[in-house]
Amino acid sequence: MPWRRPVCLVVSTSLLALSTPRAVRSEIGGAAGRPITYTGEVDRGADETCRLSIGLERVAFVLTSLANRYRFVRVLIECRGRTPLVLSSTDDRLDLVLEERTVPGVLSLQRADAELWDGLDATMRQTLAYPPSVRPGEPVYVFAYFPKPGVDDLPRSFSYTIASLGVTVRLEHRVAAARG
Amino acid sequence: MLSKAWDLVFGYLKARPWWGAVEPFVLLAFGWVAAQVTAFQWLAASAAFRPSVALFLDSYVSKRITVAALGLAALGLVFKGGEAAGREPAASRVRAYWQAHRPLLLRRLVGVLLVGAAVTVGIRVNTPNRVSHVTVRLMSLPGDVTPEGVAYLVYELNRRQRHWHLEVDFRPFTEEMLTSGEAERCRGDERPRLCQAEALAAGEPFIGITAEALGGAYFGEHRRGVSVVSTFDRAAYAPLSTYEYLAYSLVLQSVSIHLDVDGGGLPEDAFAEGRRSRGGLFEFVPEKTALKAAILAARLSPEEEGLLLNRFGSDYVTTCAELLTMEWLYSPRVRGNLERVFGATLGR
Repeated sequence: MPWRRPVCLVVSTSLLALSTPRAVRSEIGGAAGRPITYTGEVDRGADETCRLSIGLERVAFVLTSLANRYRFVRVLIECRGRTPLVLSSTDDRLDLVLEERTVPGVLSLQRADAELWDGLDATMRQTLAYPPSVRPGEPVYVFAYFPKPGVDDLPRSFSYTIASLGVTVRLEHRVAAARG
Repeated sequence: MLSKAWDLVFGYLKARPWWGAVEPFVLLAFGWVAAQVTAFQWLAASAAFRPSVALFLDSYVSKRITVAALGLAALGLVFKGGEAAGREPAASRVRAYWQAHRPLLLRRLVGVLLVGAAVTVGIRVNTPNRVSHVTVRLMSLPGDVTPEGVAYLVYELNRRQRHWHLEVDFRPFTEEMLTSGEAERCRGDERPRLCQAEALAAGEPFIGITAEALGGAYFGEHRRGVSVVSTFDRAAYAPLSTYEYLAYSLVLQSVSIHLDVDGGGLPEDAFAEGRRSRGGLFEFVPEKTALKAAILAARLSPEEEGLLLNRFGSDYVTTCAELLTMEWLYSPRVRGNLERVFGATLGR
C-alpha cells in the first residue's frame, strides 16, 4: 500500500525522538555521540563569577557506575575574581534532574557509603573527596554520585546549591551551543 | 732549631736495637696525625660550619681515619716476621712454595680477611646516613598566605642544598579524604591534626601545614616521620610574617624527621618541657612569644652540630646551619620575589 511507507517513517522518527532525552533532542550535527556539556554560572558581583560545567557522554554515563551502585559526574568549577568559593559537602547539594523526578546526589561517600569509601585507596580518596574551597584562577573538579536505580539516561539538567553563597545554580545543556 | 731537635730524637731512636720493629708504627702514627690535621682543616674551611677540635675528634671523619690507621697497623703486624729465609719463589715453583709456607700464608690470609672485615665494619659504622625527601602538604593556609608563595619558599630551600628535597602537595585537606575509621579516630585523638597528617602521610616523611589549632602544642607537633606546623597562633610570632615562620619551621621539622627516620632518633631530651632556653634547635620554647627570638637567632648548638655531623655528614651540617640563619630568605632576590610576585612582606 502506498501510504504505508510515509506512515512508518513518521512513526519510527517519533519513537526515536521520544526515546532520546530532551537535552540532546535538538542535535542536528553529524556527531550524535559527542559529549554534551551542562553549564551554569554563579555571579558573585564585582567581577567575581564562577563557571560550573559537567561534561557527559551518553554511552559512558549509562554503562559506567561506581561499584554498580552509583552513577557519577565530575563538575568543573572555575572562578574569577579574588575571593575563594567556599564549599561544604554537608551543606551543598547537587541534584540530577530527570524528566519526571529529581535524584539528590551524594557529595560525601565517606558519610553516605563508608564501606565503599574505605575500600578505595588513599590516592583515589584524595582525588574524589569534596574540596573545601575553589581559589580564583585554579580550576577544581568536584565529584558527585547518584544512586544508580532509575538513573538510566542522561539528565535534563543539574541543580547545584552552594550553601556559602545561598544560591542554587541550574546547569543545563545549551542547545544553541551544540548545533552546527 | 726544631729540625735539629727532630734529628737528635731520631738519631737516638735509630741507634736503639728495637727501632727497626717500631719504626713502621711510628711512621703510621705520624701519618695518622697528618691525616687528622688535614681533615680538620678541610672541614673548618667548608663554609658555615666550623667544628671545635673536640667535636672533630668525636666526629665520623676522625674515627674513620683512626679505623683506617688501626687497620694498617694490624696488617703490619700480620705481615711482620715469620717469613722463611730463602730465595724468592719462581713462578714455576708456586706449588713448592705453597707446600713450604702453607701455615704462614694461611695465617696471613686469615689475618688480612679479619682486618679487612673489621675496617669495613668500622668505616660503615662511622659513615653518615643518607636522608629522605619530605612531602610538604598545604593542608590549609591562613588568608594572607598563598600556596604559590609557600611553594616558592620550599623551592628556594631546595635550591640551596642537595641533601634532601621538599616536595609540595598543594591539595587542601578535608577530613573526607580519610577513611571513615581514620576520621573517627582522629576526631577523638588528643592531637587531631597530627593524627590526620599521619593518615595522609601513609608512612612516608611528611610535613603538614595547617591554619587550624593543634591539639597539644602551639606551633608544631612531631611524631616519627610526620610533623604538622600550625599558623593558628600568628600573633605569637608577629611582626614576623608567616613566611619567615614557615621557613624556620620547615627546616626544623625536616631535621627532626631526618633524625627520626634516617638518623637513629632525636636526642632523648629533644623538645622536653623546661623553663630555661638557650635558643637551640631542639629546645622547647618556654614562652609562646619567645618563638620570635628562636627564629631570629636560629642556630645549631655545638651538641646539635656534633649530632648532625655524625649522623648525616659535614655537608648536611653546613647546609643546615646556612638554612637556619635565614640569610637566604632576606637576600634581596628572595625578599624581592616574595614582595613583588607573591605580595608577601617579611617582618625583619
